[in-house]
Amino acid sequence: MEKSNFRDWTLTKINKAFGTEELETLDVLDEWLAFEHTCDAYEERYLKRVRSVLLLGVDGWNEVEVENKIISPIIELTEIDSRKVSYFLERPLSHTLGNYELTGIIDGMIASGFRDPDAPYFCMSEFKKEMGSGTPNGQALISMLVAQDINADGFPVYGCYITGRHWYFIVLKENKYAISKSYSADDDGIFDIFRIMLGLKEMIYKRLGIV
Amino acid sequence: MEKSNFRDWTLTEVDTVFGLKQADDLPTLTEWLGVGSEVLEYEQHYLSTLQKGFKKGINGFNETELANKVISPIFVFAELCTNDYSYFLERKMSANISNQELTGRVDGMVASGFRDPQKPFFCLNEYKREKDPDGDPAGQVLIAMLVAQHQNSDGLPIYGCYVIGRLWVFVVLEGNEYAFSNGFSVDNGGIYHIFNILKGLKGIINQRLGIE
Repeated sequence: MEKSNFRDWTLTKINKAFGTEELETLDVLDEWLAFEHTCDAYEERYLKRVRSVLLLGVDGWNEVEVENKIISPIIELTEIDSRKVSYFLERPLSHTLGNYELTGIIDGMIASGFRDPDAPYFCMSEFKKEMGSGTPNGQALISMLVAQDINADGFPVYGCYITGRHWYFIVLKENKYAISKSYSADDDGIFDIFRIMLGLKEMIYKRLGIV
Repeated sequence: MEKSNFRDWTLTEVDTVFGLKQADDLPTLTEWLGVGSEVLEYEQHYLSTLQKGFKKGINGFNETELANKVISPIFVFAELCTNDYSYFLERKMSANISNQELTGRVDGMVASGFRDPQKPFFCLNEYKREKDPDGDPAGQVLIAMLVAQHQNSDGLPIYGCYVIGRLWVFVVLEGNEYAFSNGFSVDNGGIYHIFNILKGLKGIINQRLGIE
């Protein structure tokens, strides 16, 4: 049994170790990205404010600042937190998968539960200066693979990795995964990012029967 | 020269080593807390929605969640991020004061500059249940404020705040005197007071920087 941290994984290493395969796209990713929503005046004003904050200083910020000033405010606007599901940050996750004992801290996770995460549906990874030998997309995918094995419910697992102003969405379904194009939070992409996160909320709420 | 981290300081030690004195009240603090302005409908909607979201889980939050889901959204919403000053997180500060080499990371700071902090006006310390369960949140914020005062050397007061879970306490350091506010709870109407106090801070900084 080999011990390793989520930080040490790249997409290539994951494909080799777990037989996963990257596809150009997956229906479930296309459906997620196509979720429709038109921002109301309140949402538009809020997102424009977040974007103006980002435009000011994002290139000089550390990852804690990007997370606190940009990522979390966008996710919080979806109002995803409820008694059944919540947005969690920096929660540890560990699991044995194949011949690997995998452990790590997930930067962001949407999971069932409100005080502590239970079943993880969405794993997010943010680029950090101290990344280990892995990559942000590898870190996101390995945590999604762990989430899929923990849930063992046949549903796809959703994810995202963020480098500064750019967001990439991922879906993992069994051993296939696909990664979206980049969405930039520094232009009108911020409205797409919010729309896609709202789409995620709707899928999770539907799965959990939350009205 | 004795080396120490902000984490190592309690209020009593700060008082003893640096000759500071806790006052019952300071006019600068009263003035700051009293800067009331009407919370607009849009702001009310935002704050009540935010509160509804975090209220359920706040007892289980780690410090990262408390920062991301409660503290930072209120700072960002109070428009403390501008071209002239911004809200910074986990930035290093250090100074040599009275034979003490003080260093530490400040959980939150409002300082001039938008990419990197220049002149600190306000320091925030979040109580870290997981990393530092025995720390003194008030002592840690005060030592950071003392370093800020030393760096600025302009005779003007330094503002601050420490947060323990849902409770916020505001602080002012002026000369060698400091005073604490009452506690404001973010899970009730206190959230509007907290927001107003941060908007008041924005007004004070604007005035100091000559921004209209």
